[in-house]
Amino acid sequence: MASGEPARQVRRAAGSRKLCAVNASQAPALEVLAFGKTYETHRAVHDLSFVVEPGEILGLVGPNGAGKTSTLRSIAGVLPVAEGRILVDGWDVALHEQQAKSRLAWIPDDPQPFDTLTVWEHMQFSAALYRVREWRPRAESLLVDFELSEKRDALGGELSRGMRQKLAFACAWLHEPRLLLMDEPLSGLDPRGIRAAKQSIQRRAQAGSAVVLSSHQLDLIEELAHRLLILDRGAKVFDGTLEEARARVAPGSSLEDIFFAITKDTKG
Amino acid sequence: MARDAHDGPRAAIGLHGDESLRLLAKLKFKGALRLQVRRAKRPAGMLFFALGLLLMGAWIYSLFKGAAGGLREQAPPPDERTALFVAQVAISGIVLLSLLGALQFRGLFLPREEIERLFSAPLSRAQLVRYRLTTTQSRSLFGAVLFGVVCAQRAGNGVYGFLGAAVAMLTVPVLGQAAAILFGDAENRLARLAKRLPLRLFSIVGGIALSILAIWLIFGPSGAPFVPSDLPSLRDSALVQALLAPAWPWARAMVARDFAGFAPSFAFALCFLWAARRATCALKVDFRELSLETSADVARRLNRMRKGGVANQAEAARAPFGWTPPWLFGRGPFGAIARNELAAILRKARGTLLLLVVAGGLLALASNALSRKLASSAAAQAGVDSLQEARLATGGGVLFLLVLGTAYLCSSLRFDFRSRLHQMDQLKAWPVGGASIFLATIAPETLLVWLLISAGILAPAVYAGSIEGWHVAAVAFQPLLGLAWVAIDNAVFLRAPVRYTPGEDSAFLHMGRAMVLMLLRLLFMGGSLVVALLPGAILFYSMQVADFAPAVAWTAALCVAWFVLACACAGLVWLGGRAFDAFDVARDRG
Repeated sequence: MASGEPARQVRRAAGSRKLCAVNASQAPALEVLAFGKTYETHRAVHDLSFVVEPGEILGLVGPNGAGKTSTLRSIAGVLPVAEGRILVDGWDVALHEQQAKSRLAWIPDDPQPFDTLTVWEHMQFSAALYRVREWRPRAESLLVDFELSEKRDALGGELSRGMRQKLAFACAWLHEPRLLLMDEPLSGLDPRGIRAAKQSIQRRAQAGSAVVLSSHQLDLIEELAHRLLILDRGAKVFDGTLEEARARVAPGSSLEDIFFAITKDTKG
Repeated sequence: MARDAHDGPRAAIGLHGDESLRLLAKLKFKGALRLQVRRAKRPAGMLFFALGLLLMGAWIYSLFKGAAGGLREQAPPPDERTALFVAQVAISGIVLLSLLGALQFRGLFLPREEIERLFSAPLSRAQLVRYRLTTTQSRSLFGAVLFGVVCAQRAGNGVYGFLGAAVAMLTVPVLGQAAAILFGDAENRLARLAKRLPLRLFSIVGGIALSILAIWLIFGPSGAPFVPSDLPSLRDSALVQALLAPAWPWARAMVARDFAGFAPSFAFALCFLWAARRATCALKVDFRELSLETSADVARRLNRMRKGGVANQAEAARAPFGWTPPWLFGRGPFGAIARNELAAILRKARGTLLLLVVAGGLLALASNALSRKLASSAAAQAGVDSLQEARLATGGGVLFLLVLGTAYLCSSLRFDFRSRLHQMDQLKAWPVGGASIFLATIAPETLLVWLLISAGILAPAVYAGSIEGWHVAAVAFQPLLGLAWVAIDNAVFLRAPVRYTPGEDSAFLHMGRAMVLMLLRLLFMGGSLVVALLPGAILFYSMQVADFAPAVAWTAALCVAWFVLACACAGLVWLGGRAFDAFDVARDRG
């Protein structure tokens, strides 16, 4: 997808700044248009545009401080969008915040459960938060998928790092989001947990969810992502498939080679 | 599976957010109770819980029946104008403190585990503010009831006093929250012109100014209590009345004696509370970035709080004053460990030194004023002359500063094993004996406390041009007293490494355990002092019987006491070393 492509599904309502979706079901799961983020004097992200279609897994990579987490947190609505536009399933995150947020799930790099709530109560709360009816069978199934059944009555404060991560996955999956945003999703997981998480991410994508996966684990991105978005010092330096990246760098090169070649190019 | 958020009418999404937040509040409350019960099920937990409950019960009982009731019986009831004035001052003071606190909590504070989850959830900011206000007000409810009870015992009509005070206390968090959001927004707007405003500095300076004003009001420039004697003139001052006017309706409700006086003010207070809540929820401010900063800041502060005392909570500065910490205790392993601690103190010097100087100054001022008052009343009763009175006052002041200063500074600083608990794996691997590590870790703090207390004792004496034996003895004994207290404190802590931060669960259990541990510390300290002072006292009386001059007897007795106390300190350090050796890193890694 070329950068700066106009928002196909968006029109400006006559006489107002309000943006609305013409047809949400046909809209891309995520559209980021000329997005920028500045912290005081530090420009973390600038002029970033990309689109993620339903069922697509986008691998977001870049060196430390490239602006990956700022981008993800802004898409999730944790940070306000000051520059550009972000549309989730056709809904503008700045203007129709709640509609956009009800369609996404955000898993930060170090999920913090509630210390005094049990695993099951976390599921209960997530169901209420996203207004999921008849959530119990699905919650049971997710606990089994993520090997949390035995921890059902454990308190959040008693969970290990890996268990916290699994709980965050289970809570995020519960409302079947159209867009999944994940920052270093596999850190802290054991091999069995990693396999379960990978399979689960792929299943969600096959079910039609768009996934944005930020990670320094390039083998994970290479294995799961359909497309690659490389950021460096707040700017997009590559957006395309792995094959396109190989064609640009060298045939048969690994993602690691691609990453170093592309980020070195921009520094040079 | 049905998904209302996706499939239902989109306009209705915002209306349902509160349900999930209500569920969250309910689950958190239930969870906190469950955790309390789980901990209290263990025998030790049960004992500590019972002790904590007993302590709290005794305190509340004293509020209901003891101190407050006793005061009311003894003191004549104040006239209505004075009562109104006092109520206005109390409310204004509480609101002012709340506003100062708002400078530190910009935006909407949400705990770490809630912020990312709730900000990325389909909830409006108004719903989040309402949720936060409800939880804050629920927490304030207990304080509001206690404050109401205290006020009820002093008010003309107990019921009106209670209701007025309780509503005022429930309004304060709303005002504080509104101020936090508005201050944050103002800062955001102003930050475009100037860099970040030093709001926390304003808050600290404001707090210090208020403390100084309170001390001045209590003790006055002449040392005599100022407020009671000059209360009517202060009360009738036009400026003071204008400053206190905003608190009038609540104060009026609190001190009303009949329904006609109470009802309009109370109705206004209720309407104001309702309107303030609505207005705060409706504020059109995007506080997300401020809240994220505040939440991260609070998490860092709580983490530091778990590591030590007030001073230890300061952020470390990279290069204070451009110099590196000196090797005060030699260049061997002992010196290196001590230098490490010294660096922690110095690198937090910006906040620490300001805090310590202010705290030390206030302590010196308070102990001086208090000892003058006590000496004056003692002299009046005993009929001694002014010279003796001055000497009594000086001795009393020095003693106050020695005891209060040592206790306060040692408990505030805590650059000791509390700040190293998360590094105990490394400390235990060091090729140095337990007693050496123990002493090296606590020595810099002891040294700093000694320097500060000595300055507080000697500076006024040098200024007055009369250094007496009291001063020299106090300066000589302080490092041993400080070392003994810090050694006992740390040895007990290493044996029972439990910490409690405000807002944590199981408050009763922690309160009971803290009481037991404090009693243990006091027992050790008392035992050490008795062992140290007994030989000195025996020698003093023996020399008096043998007709030695008092000065000689005092000097000899103090020298012996000092020597024995030094030996006791060595024993305590050895015990501390044993506690360090026995510390189980698997039990608590901080």
